Amino acid sequence: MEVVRSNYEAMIDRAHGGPNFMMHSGISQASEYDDPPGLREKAEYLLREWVNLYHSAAAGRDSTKAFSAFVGQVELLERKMHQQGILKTDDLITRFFRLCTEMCVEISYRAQAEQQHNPAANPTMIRAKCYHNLDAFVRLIALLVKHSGEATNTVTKINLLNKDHDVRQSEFQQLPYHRIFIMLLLELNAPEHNAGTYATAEGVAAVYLLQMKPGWPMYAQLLIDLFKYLAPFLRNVELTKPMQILYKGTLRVLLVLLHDFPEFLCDYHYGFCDVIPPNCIQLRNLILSAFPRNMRLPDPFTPNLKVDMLSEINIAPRILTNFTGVMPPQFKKDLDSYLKTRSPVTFLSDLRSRYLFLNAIANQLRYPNSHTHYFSCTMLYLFAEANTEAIQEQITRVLLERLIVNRPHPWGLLITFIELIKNPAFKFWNHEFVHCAPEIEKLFQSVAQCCMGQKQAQQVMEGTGASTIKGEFGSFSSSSSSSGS
Amino acid sequence: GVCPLGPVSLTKEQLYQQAMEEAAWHHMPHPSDSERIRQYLPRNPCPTPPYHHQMPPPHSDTVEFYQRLSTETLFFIFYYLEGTKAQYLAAKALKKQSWRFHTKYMMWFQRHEEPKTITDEFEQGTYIYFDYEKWGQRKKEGFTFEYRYLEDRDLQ
Repeated sequence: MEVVRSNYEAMIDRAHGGPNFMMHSGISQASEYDDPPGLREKAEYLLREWVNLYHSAAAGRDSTKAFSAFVGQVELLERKMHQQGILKTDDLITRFFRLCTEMCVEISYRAQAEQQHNPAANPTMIRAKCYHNLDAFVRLIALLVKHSGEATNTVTKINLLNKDHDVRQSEFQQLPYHRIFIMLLLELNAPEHNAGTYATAEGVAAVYLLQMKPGWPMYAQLLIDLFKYLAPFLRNVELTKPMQILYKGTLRVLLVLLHDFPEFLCDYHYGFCDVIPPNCIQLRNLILSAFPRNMRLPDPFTPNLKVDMLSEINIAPRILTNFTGVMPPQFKKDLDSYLKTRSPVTFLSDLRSRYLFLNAIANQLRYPNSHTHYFSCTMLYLFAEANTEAIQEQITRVLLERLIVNRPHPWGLLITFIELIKNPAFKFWNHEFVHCAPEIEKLFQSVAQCCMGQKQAQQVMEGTGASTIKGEFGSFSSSSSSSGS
Repeated sequence: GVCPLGPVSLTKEQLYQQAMEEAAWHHMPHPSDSERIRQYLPRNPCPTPPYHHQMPPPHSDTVEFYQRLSTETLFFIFYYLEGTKAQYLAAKALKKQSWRFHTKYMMWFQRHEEPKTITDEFEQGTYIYFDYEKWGQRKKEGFTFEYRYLEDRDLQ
């Protein structure tokens, strides 16, 4: 398993060379600056000048007048920047932007400090003070981006953010950066600008990235980064209050994605499931429940549902992760061999890897498609042909633990579980683990009643209705045994 | 249990991340951090009792809803929620109620009677207008509404 993982990570890193590489390298490097003498003073003068111009023009209710005044001011400022020699080289422009960012950040810190020293101060006014400078600066960046494409250097700004964090540590304030990114995103997102500048916005409010398909891989990478960050904390289930809030926020983002961009979650489900710890059932269910919007899913509780009659069941889902490249050749060989021959059983002997193995199968139980169907049959076949009850118990556990959490539940997961408890061929109710605890038994019964109705459920659970019901579900069980061999 | 793979103790780096997260938690982003400045009605979150409405009624972001509001409410939205969707909807509702915006005076006018004169450049007559400084409706007789000051963008 560890080999697979490290291979996979190496592959992911290579595959996302382009903008994602920029995104990460920008964060990882930071260097000291030695500015030419007097540059800081010049930048300070120009920034202050600009902030005043920006707000004097935006005052007044007459927007058309303000606009023409504004254009004039941009020209005025550019002239001043020329006079001060700021626009001479890319290096100077970069330094200018860096110094401006530093100054805006400084102002924000001073405002926050003021708030702390004087709790009576109006917090709304304090914020307005920060916004006052930051918004002006953002508009300046946006306007200069429009005038010359090279003017903004994202890497420099990200470096700065990182440096600030290293120096201030727990005193770090995210407000100035947060606002700069979001406002810049809004500015550059205005229709007259070109879409290529999205990259500057980074991950902050990057749901915008999803509005165009080229943004999908980058957004997927941002989500993977978030999941990777959360993973060690979620895995241990020792969540501090801040982590709980971050987790809740993650759930919300996923809910939005599930509702508005289900195809995105469908396409990248593999990569996401790979970084989400196995115990995060609900997080993963949200991803696995996504299905293409044009699809109608039959109610899994429909009596007599013939899954193999669905036309979608022959269509393969789209997977945008190259997962076969993940497996070392020998592992793949062993796996193929095991799937063909069901031996050697040592392949499954390690309890931990078997849990991961069954989870990997369950991760494919999604909307009606050929993978869902195949892995549903595989899971049921593994249950039917298991040589120890421990395997059957673990299969039940993997399915059940994904169903006892709150909705949503993936369609294929429900279908598989219902088949398991409904089809007498699996002799589900004869197993000891079903009756291991009264609350577990009750749970199974309520699921059975939910999907079969009181009377039929009673018959199946008591094993009396086997012969009468068998015919009804014959189509599914015959297909499950044929695809397994 | 809830931890099927067994607990793993956090690395030094992860403990550091947790500590930084904890520090950042004390000053989480404010809703207004990611919005344009609201000059007159800044966001001011405070605990409200659960038996009060925590959310506005559904469909209150449609023109139909705005048309049910009083004109004074619409003027309030127009002047105090500048540059928002609410302002746009209020303007739309006002236009539907035959109010016209004067771009020089920055005020809304409604014909009190049929204009005495109508030319290609202007119309003249008695109008009701809303004075945002005195905050009330006023009547103006013999007013010349020059069409070049008529805000006539077609709000979609």
